[in-house]
Amino acid sequence: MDNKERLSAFYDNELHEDSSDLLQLLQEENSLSKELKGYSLISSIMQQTRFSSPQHKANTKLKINLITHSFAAAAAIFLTLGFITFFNPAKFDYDEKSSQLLADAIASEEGQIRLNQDQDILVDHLFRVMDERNLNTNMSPGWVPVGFSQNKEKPAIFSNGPKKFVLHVENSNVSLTKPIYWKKGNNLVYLHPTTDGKIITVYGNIRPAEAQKIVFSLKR
Amino acid sequence: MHKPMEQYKDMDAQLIDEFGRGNEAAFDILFTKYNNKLYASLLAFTKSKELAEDLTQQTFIRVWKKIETFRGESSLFTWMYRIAINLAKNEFNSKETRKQVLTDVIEDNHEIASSISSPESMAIEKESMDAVISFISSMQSDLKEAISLREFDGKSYEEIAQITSSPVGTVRSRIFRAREEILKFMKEEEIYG
Repeated sequence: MDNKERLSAFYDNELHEDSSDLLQLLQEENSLSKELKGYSLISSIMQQTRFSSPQHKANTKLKINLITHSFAAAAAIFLTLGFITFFNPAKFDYDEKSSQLLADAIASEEGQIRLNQDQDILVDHLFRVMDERNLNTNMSPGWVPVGFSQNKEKPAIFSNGPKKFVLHVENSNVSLTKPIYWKKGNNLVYLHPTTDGKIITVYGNIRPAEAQKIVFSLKR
Repeated sequence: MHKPMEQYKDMDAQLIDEFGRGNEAAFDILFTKYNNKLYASLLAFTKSKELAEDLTQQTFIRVWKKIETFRGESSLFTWMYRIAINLAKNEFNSKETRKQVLTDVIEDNHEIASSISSPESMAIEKESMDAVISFISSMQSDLKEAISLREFDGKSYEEIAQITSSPVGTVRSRIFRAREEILKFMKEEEIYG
């Protein structure tokens, strides 16, 4: 393997050998440095072309029930970030625990897949829900599920002590045809489409059956 | 034969050490290696080229300042990506203050910011990017497959080896040869070099 091939492997984080000599050469030889910049440029062109391609845009008409891996990946990141945002009084910050949680989500296979799939609309939806200012529970004002109480300051949050969940209802371009959920540990994100084009999003440390029950109670 | 992991530091770790000793060229190498990957990730999140570019720069400013806190518990890219995602999330939560924050950050860090360039492809015209993609489409199928699985799908060499039923060494070689051919084309077309 010559030095340029080693450099290509280094660029991909696939050079599993002592590379002190390559590092030395990289800093001394302009041609190698230029080669590395070339690799970076190729990556950028390929990735940007992918994001702007007509195929990519067409793919954003989400077929969520067919591509579950990407949903799982987006949900993994969402659950990690969302729980920190809503249920950690300190909010999201560089504390060790939240950093590790996020690292786990990002480093997961699902996280890697998410970067390479076309699930932009779903990710948008989840991130929008994560911003508490966007939350809407107006589908049924005054509604509170049995056994839960509503947070007075943040009406989208419901709790019965140990269990908490967030509820959000919106008109959505996420083309779900049936309910779908993703679970990470005790945490769940559950999306439920309604016949009038809305998506009900429930997430919290509840079971899928509980989320479904909550949605049915809301719809009534 | 690979040496056992304990016997060497990977190149990223060596670069971090060198940067810690004041060798700023080491940071340039890390920047070259990761800036477009971070930019692409941020573009996927923000859907805005301008914002992704701003956040990429902010991420590297943070990395520049905080790299001594990197403890090697995750890959360097994961650590950088965590910073980038945190910045992007803050962006989602405070859009109205974004411009001011960005201005403040960049002004406060003018010296650092001036040494961190935008993703290079920003300077390349769309026609040239299309020409590169068209060239890649015309490449020998095994090279095209390897570079596409790597760059479009983010597959590891091991995964590509499994998908293509080829040894990892062959995958590494194909990806390298694909890059060489693309760079040669870009030089001939005066797109790069």
